[in-house]
Amino acid sequence: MNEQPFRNPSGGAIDRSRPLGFVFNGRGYSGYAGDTLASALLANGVSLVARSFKYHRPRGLFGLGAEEPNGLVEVGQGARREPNVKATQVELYDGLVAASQNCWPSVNFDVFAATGWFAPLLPAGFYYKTFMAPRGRWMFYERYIRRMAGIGHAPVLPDPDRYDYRQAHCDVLVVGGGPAGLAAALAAGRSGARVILADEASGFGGMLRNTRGTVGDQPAQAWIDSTVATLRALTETILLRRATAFGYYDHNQLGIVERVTDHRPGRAGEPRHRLWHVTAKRVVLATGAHERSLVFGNNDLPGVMLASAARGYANVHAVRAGQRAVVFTNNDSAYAAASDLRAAGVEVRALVDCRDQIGGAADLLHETGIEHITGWAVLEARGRKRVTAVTIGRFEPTADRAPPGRIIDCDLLCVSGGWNPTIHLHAQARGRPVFDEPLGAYVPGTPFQAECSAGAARGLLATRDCLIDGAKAGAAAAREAGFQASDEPGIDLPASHAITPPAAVWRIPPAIGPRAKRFVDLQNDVTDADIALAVREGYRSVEHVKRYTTLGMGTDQGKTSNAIGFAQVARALGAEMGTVGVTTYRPPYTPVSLGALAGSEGGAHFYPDRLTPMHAWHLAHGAIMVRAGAWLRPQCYPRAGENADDALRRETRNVRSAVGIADVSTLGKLELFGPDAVEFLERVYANRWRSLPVGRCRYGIMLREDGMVFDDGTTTRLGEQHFFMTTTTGQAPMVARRLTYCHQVLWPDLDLHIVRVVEQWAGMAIAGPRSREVLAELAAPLDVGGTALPYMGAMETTISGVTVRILRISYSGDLGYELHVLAGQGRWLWERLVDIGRAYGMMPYGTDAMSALRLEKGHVAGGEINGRTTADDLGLGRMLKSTGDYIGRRSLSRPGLAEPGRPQLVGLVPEGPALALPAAAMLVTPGERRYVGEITSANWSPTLQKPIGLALLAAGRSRHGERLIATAPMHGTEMPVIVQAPNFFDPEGERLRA
Amino acid sequence: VPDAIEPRSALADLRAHGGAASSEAREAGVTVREVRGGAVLQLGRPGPEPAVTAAIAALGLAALPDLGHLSQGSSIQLLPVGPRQWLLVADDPSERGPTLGDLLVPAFKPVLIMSDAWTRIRIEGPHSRDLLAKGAVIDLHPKQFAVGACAVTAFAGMRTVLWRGAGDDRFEILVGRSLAVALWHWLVEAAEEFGGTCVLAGRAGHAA
Repeated sequence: MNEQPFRNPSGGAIDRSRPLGFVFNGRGYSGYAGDTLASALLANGVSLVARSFKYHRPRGLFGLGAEEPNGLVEVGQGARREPNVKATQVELYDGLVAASQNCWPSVNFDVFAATGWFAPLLPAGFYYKTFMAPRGRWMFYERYIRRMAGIGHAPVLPDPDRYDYRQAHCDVLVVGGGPAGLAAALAAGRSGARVILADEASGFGGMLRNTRGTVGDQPAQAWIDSTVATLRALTETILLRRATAFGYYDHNQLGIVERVTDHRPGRAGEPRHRLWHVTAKRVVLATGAHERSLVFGNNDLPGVMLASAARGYANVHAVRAGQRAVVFTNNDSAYAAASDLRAAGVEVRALVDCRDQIGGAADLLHETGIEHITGWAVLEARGRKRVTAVTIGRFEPTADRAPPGRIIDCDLLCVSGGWNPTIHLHAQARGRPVFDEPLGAYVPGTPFQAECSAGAARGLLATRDCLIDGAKAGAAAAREAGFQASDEPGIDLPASHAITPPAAVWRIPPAIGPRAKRFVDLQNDVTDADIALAVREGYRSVEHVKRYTTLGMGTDQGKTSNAIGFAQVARALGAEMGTVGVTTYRPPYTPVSLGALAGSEGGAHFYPDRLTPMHAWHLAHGAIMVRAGAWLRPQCYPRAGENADDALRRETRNVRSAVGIADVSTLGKLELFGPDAVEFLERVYANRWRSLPVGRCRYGIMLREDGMVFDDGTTTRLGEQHFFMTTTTGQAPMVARRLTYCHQVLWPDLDLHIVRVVEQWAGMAIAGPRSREVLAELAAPLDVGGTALPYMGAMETTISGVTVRILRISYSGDLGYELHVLAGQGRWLWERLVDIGRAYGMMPYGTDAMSALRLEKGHVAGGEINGRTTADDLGLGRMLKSTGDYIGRRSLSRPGLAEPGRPQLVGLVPEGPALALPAAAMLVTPGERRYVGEITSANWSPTLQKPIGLALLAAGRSRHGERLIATAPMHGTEMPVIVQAPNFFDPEGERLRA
Repeated sequence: VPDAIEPRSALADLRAHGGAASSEAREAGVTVREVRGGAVLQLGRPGPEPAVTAAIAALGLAALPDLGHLSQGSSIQLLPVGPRQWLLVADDPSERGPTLGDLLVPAFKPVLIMSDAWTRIRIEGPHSRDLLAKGAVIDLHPKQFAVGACAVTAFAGMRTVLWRGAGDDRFEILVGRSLAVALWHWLVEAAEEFGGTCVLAGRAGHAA
């Protein structure tokens, strides 16, 4: 037996010397290089490939490319399984594994097909009608409905493939490589313009590949090959195959997804998909047209196929889509299809044309023996899992029902309901499609962006017209981009021939007798009855009908169905077709893998990590790293046998008892220079700066315009006109942006310069009672004693030839110093300090210990500076200067900010013994459980050996000693707490000033 | 000055260069290498005209460049990075800034040595533009971005200074030191498909 019974022994563009094995629904088949999964299945006589979305009706292949509504399959296995792939767009490769989706247990026997029996219960909008009662039950039904209407399964494993991203800029982007697109690219490319030509198929040529036509004296394929060769020779032209322009965005930017290795998997190094982000000066949309169907009974049976698709399978793949065919049309294009099918060995039994009068196209049927039936229509297809015959009758467009005339046996019904120009990108770019009455289709309207449509995309159906139009459009685009280009196509054009206009056939009366389903949208199982029902129920806008019936939704986006559906709406409303409009076209044109959109920005590249100069040291010493803003910082350094909690406690205790060292390179750092720098500080900070002497630091707070605290940090006066500012890590970019804005926009008259120096300096804090001894040994013979370097003192010095800025400031509440050194020497200084510190019991400490230390000291951080607290709320009110203006000052006079019940910072300890305070808990009064505040920070205090917390409590400063309840209902925890002052450690600051 | 205090590259801790085996004989589509040493100075507002002219002449440069194009001297380039803001990039690895700083202080306010703040990476070879097209948002075609063109631009989500060096396919990137490792990893991975060679400066086994 012939392995591929429907394959012709010769012809087509396949490579018979390269047979390929593949598996479909668990069964092995063979095909050839050059096949798609669809053509290979047809060659093997597989006509049933899918079950429909709602009724689980058997479905076969209907189209040839992107317009395919039925043949959605899952391709690949495991992590590489991809659902909802159109079999018509899958290039066959050896070992391909594919399966039908939306059926169980198999596509041949699908138990859910039983839904067909209940079809009357499942009309348009049935979700909203049937499954709503009793109230609230939708949640229950939904699980089952979603499962039945599932369209494939996403893989659950991580995506193993690599995806790539490419920015591209060009003068002219040509979308679509059919005759119009090739001519456009040629015209534009010859002018010297930078051209990108993208086509979704594996080869250029578009519809020309599917015909047996000629261009000039050459066979179509020879002309395509020579044109592509000419384009390749142009150095400024990029040709992209397997590349779908899926979205048209503002500023003439388009997204194109190139399927690089889908057709030859297993190549290492190369990406699977590449996303091209193209910015084009001009765009030529040569996107062609999709043939559409006709609405008759059982028009979804396997074996019903677009005439152009059957023609393409015959000419390109040498595959007969059936043995005995009937062709049914309302336009000229199906005549060539019938002729080509016959040439490929299909017995074409009849060509049924709705029109009464046919011009030159009918010549193609001379001496073919194909019966030519005019003025008749196919009323109904017959068969169960495949067409076995069609019922035809006289075409009476206005009749309610039509009497059946004849039955013709066949296993293939080729339909052509005319052509829909592919206007998706034009419409995405905010062009307004208009209805073209003679063509019976929507065509591009006035472009909104710098684009134009050419060829079949604007309704020209003859190859000759497409070539001329494409060349014109390409030349015009090149000229608009600033190049000299001629409208002359420079192509040996094919002869022109007269076309009889298509008949506008939107409805064929149902045959008298039992009523068969008549589908408008095959992918979403929408029938003409559904649309009629929607209109009867009051839906008038096509947008509403779309949503109520699901017409044109899903991966199909109405490629073959929208025009018919809108016509049905117009008819039901008694309106002109041109007046109902179209639904909004949105990207993507066809599905795009999420991997392609993510590109290489996954894994480690998801977010570029900022590393400090001491990063590698932290890793080498066992640090657990944590994200802080864009930075990675050591959270703690657990030793063998320790967990993170143990490490936090050890590191904290060690700071209190000996000395610790922490990496503070991530703090925001700015240098300010100039005579007006101090005036600038006076304005951006809420406290005073003019009085700060050179060689001293000061803690400062900045307010927002609304008076709330914005950020805090220290600024050091290194010279009369030179300041060194540090900010919190998290707010560093915001502070830098704000200061730049203030200087450039608000006060350009101030003479100063602000330079961001966070990258230039590495910072490290040493803290603890023995920190001075470490510093003294490092800086010897420099005097760093309490008199030479008092609390909040600063000095810039040189150690071993390295410039070091030493600031005596402390976040921990203990004696401490911050050392800043050029980033390239950060690692050296850090290691030097660790070496010296060893004798003094020094240990590194991470952000966990830092938080615990600041909490013990009652320093505020992000939890307290939360955008809703004033300086006074935080107990910093006395820092605000009483004279002079600063950002936020005027807002402080708002009455609400002076209310007695404002939240105020307090400390909390549990009333009894406890392991932890509930974090993010509310504070309520013990009796009436009135909300009075919330816990903002809580931790175990290794120093005090008990849990402590900070809270914002209404009128908190007057409530020290009060007993409240901390409650976290979401966690089910609750405990009594005692309010106290917010400093738990060294409240007098003796350690700090030692 | 002892060796240990030599400024340490932000890429010094990468154990492997990460690229394809980098024998110089190999026909690499693109080469990515760190340019070690050299000085970067940030210059603020220009001062009095004669002082600026004198400083520019002393650097061997023709003029103070406007946005979009750098001024090229011998082993030195002055890059405009904002309104009245320039970066002076010196190639000499022994120069860390102070000498140039002294020269420029009379002419610009302020003059800041920022050599430690930046990591400089050079990308060259026939596929350099293809590699950069994966991360750059601006058009790097020679018609739009000729030799000497320079831009402050986002690259692979990072703020960079990017310019086209002398020669057909040479680009240079300055990136903030803290992001150097992230950018390096990004480049190594992106260069793979072009047969990229990625060379860390001064590392044994990987000829620089």
